[in-house]
Amino acid sequence: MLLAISAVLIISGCAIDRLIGHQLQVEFDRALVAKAQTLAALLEQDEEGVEFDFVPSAMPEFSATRPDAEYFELWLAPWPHSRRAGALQDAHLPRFDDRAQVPRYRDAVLPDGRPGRLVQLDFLAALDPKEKHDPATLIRPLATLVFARDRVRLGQLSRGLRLGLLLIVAVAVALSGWLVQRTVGRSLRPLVAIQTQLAGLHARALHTRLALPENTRELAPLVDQFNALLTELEQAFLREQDFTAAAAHELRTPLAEIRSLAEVGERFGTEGALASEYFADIVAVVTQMETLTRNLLGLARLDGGLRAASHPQTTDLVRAAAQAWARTSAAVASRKLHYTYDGPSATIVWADREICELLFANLLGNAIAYSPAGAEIRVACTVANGRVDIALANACTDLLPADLPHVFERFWRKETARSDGGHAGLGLAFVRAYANQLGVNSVALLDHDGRFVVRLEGFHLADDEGLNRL
Amino acid sequence: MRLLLVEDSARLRKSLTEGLSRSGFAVDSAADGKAGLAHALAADYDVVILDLMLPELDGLSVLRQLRDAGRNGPVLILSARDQVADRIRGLELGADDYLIKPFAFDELNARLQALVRRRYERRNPVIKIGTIELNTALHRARCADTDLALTPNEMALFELLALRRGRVVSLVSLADHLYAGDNAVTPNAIEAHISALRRKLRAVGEPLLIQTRRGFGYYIE
Repeated sequence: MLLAISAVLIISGCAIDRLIGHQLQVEFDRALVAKAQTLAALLEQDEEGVEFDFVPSAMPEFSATRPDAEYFELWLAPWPHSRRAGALQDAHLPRFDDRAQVPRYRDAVLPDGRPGRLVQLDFLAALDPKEKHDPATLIRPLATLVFARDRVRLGQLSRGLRLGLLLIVAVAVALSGWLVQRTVGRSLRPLVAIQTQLAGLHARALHTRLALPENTRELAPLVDQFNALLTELEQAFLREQDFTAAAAHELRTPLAEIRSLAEVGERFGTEGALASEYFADIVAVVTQMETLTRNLLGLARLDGGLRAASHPQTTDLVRAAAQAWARTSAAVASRKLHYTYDGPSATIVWADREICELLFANLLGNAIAYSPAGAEIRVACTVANGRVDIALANACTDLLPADLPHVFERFWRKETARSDGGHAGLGLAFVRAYANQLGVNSVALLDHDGRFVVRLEGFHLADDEGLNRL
Repeated sequence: MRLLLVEDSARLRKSLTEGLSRSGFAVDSAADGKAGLAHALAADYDVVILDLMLPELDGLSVLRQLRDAGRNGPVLILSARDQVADRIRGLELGADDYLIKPFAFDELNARLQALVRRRYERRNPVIKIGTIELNTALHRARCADTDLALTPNEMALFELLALRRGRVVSLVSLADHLYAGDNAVTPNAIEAHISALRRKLRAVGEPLLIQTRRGFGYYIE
């Protein structure tokens, strides 16, 4: 920007210099030709011939004694010699070889060595108005007058003006530079302040937020947007930390079990039935770890979109839930849990059937795992405006409202001891992941009876109204 | 030495109980915090091994209640929590050591030995009594270059009396420290072990090492 301003100023300065120089030249030439015409007017023709009425004493500027002497030389065809200014002495002024009706100018070195400028007039001598002339017989010789004067003062004036302009341009460039720097510096100050804050951000300081610099309302949307992004990043980072810690913890205990069983068995030569028991324990722990690893990989695939894309089709949600119950509850028949359903006998939605079945299997598996013996597991279905919502409620003894935001988190379990190796706290994480894949909202709440309810909201009914909402 | 293991993992509890018992400790165990606290308050354990994430009552609460009750015996925390803050919190609440899962059984054993020695104010695992050199870390007793072939019960008795050298140890205290809570033990059984131990000591020229204070118990000068 400063370069552009400097270039503009320099070009403008040059243009002004040329304009003034040209104007001075024009004025100089105008004065030059005026003086030449004055001299030309002294050449008069009458009956007796042509007479140059030049009186040296009347025009002392042509005197040889003057240091600023001016020069002229006048040629006339009949004259054997030109008439000249006294200052010219024996020298001659240069003249154009041809003749022209307009004054012509040229720069030249004056006889005394000074730089000068001359004008040449080709003209006819003026006729004496008091006499009568016969145009048929009158012969009018062509005169050539060259008038020269030094251009030292013009050069000095021109150089002075140029120097002045140069100084002005230099000052203007410096001033512009300072102003540009100051203005840009002031304009960039908020950005520099933000940049400084940004430089202080790192993975362990994600709790910090950008502060809006003073008087920079226009930057508020940018700062707000960035802070919102930081909040999301911090939450994601914390979730990642929690997940890693939970995953590590989930693996530490089974690893400790395996190591202890193996070391004690190896150290003390455990044999017979006890050895078999130890080996069986090790196999059980490894199987448990395999399940955990498989589930984590499954969730990672769902997160990364690596699972095959969903294939929406007509799916009966009521039937899918009942089938999932039949498969899942068989393993815990001794606990005498009851499955009840409230809603239409069939609810056909437009969704991937396989994902729906997996979703219900995990949802019911979670309800079965944490319901007390003999409890009711209740599924309700509501249909409105082409939309289907499913709610699964089961009794729970220890969940609090403060726990609800965490129930879909991976590895979250109400019981912090995690004594039950069969449940890693991934069931509801799967429910949410499958719901997300189906485009269904998943919500956890406690109803007025204190039962834990998971609502799956927004299945699309497979009729015209429901499909139109897609 | 008598230990209490409070650990909710049944498999870990089983293998550690087996391993530590075979290493010469008398081990009681509990599967949750409440039961663990009840055990710890009911008996004087040489070391309590305490998991942190326990059902019913978490390990730190057990530890706090133990200290509040004036039980200052060594506590070794055994936990999957590996954060420095967790360790600091446990140690600040009065734990004497902290071991992170998974761990080497030998390391657990060595730390337990160190805690026992610290409890009896002995830094060196080797105790010299007369011509006998008793190594409590290796559970080995030697006289000159001859190993005394002691059974685990005899060794445990000898170690306890040596660690409490100069003090009379009652039969009840011997039973408390040498046998797990669910093993019924009679004074006659302890006297039988003492008798066997004296016989082996006599064979290597130390017949009077273990003295009897009638009505009180046994001691080593």
